[in-house]
Amino acid sequence: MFRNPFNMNFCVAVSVLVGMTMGVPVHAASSPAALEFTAEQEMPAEVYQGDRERLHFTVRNVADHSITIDRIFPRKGGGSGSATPGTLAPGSVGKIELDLTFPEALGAGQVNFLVKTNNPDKPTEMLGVSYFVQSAFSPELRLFDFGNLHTGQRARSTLEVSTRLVPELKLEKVISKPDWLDVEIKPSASGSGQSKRVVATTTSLPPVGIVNSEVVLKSNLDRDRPLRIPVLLRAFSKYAIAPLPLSLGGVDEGMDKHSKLRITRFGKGDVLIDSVETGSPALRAERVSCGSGCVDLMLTFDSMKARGGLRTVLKVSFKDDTQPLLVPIDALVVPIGVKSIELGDLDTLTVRGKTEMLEPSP
Amino acid sequence: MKWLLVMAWLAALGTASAKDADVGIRHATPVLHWTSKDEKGVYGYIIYRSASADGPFLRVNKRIVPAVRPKPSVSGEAAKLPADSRYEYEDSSANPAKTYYYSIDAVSRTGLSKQLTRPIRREPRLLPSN
Repeated sequence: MFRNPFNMNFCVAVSVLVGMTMGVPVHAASSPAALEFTAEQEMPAEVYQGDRERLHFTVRNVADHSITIDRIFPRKGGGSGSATPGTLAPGSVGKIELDLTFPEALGAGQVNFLVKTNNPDKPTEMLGVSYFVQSAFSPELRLFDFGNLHTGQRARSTLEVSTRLVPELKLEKVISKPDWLDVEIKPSASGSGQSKRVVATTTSLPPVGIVNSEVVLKSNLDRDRPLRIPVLLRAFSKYAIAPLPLSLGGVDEGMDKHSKLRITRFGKGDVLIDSVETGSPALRAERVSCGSGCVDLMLTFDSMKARGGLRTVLKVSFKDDTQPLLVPIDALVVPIGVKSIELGDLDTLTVRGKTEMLEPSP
Repeated sequence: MKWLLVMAWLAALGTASAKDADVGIRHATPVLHWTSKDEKGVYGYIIYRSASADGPFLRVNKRIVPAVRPKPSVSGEAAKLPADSRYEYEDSSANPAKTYYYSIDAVSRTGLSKQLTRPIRREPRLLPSN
C-alpha cells in the first residue's frame, strides 16, 4: 500500500549508469543460461495485498553436464525457494517451489529469485516472478488523517470501506490499533451490506510530533484478508507548525530555494520563540510576523553549501513551552547536466476519513 | 497515472452456447462487449455482476481481463496504441436464464480501479430452436 501520508513532492534525478549490476555479482550477459524456467501458473501472479503464495515452476537443465541447485532466495525482501530434485542431469526437468509474501504496495511489480548452482560457467541464475497486487477493499488508498491536534484536543475520523468480493462485509474484530485510539465498526450509511463505516476516535494525545500508525481489522474475506487503515496525526502541545515535514524537492546545483514554515499558537497570545536552529549551515531561517499568534519562518536553502543534498531537523524552542517543535526538512541537489523529473504529489489519490474535532474546540 | 480511457459502448449480448436442459429451452450465455480508447496506464478490467440493480455486485473474473498492450517499437519511436481496443467477455458462470446487472472497472497499472459504466441490465435470451 502507498504509505506516504505526507504532502511531499518527490523528485528523481535521472542519469544513465552503464554496466551496473545492482550490487549483486552476476556473470556477463554472454554466459548462456544453463537452466530454463517455466511457470506452471498464469503470470503475472495476480494477488491481493499481503497474500502469501506458493508458486511452481519447472526447471530444465539445458547444459551438457549435471547441475546441482544449492540455494534459491529472493534478491530483496522475504521469501524462500526449493528445488526437487536438487541435481539435474543434462536435459532433465525438475520442479521449483517458491514461497513468498507479496507486498502491500499496489500494482505491477517483479521479484527476482537468485538460483545458486555448482555450475562454474554460471553459478547464479535468475528466476523473475512478475506480479500484480490488488486491494480487496475500496478505497484502495485510505487514511485516518487527524491533522493537527494539541494537548487535550480529541478528534474523530470516519471512513467508509467496501468490498465486492463477498455479498456482505464483516469486520469482526480489531487486530491492532494505537493505544490512544478507539475504533468502532458501524453499518454503512448507504445501507449496503458490502460497506462498513469505520469510526476512529482519539482518546488521548500521543507523543508530540508526527505520528504514523495503523488500524488493522479482521475481515470475513477469503484467507481472513485484513483491512489496514494507516493513521496519521501531528501532535502538538502549545504551538503547531506546518508543513510538517517539509520537502524542498529538487534544487539545481548553485541555486537557492525558498520556502516557508508557519508557527501558530493554540488559544490566545503571542508566539514566544526562544531560538531557531536549522541544523545545517545551508539553511537559513528568518522570523516574520503573520498576525496575532502567528509567525512565519522564511527559509532559504543554499545548494552551494550542501552539495549532496539536505537532510536536517529544524528545531524551534519557545520561552513558554518546554516542548520544542522539530521539523524534518530534505532537499535533493541536482548536479548540472542531470535531468530531473518532478513526480508531483503522490498523496492526492488517498481517500481520507471525514474528520471532525471534538471538545475542546481549537 | 493517466485515466484517459473512454468507453465507446458496452453491451451484454448472447451466444449460442448454453441451454437449460431441465426445461427444454435454450438460453444464450451472457457475453459482454466493450470498446475503449486511449488505455495508457490501464492494466486491465474487472467485471462485476448482480441479480439486482442495487447490488450486491460481486466480482466475476478471477483473473483481470488484460488491457491491449501497445506494440513494441522497432525504430525507437514511442509505442502506439490501436485507435480502439475491443473486448469481449463470456460470463460462463452466470445462469443464462436469469436477469443480471453488469458493471466494469478499469484497473490502472498502479493498482487503482475506476468504475467505467453504470450497471447495465441483461435479460435472458432464448436461442432459436433447431
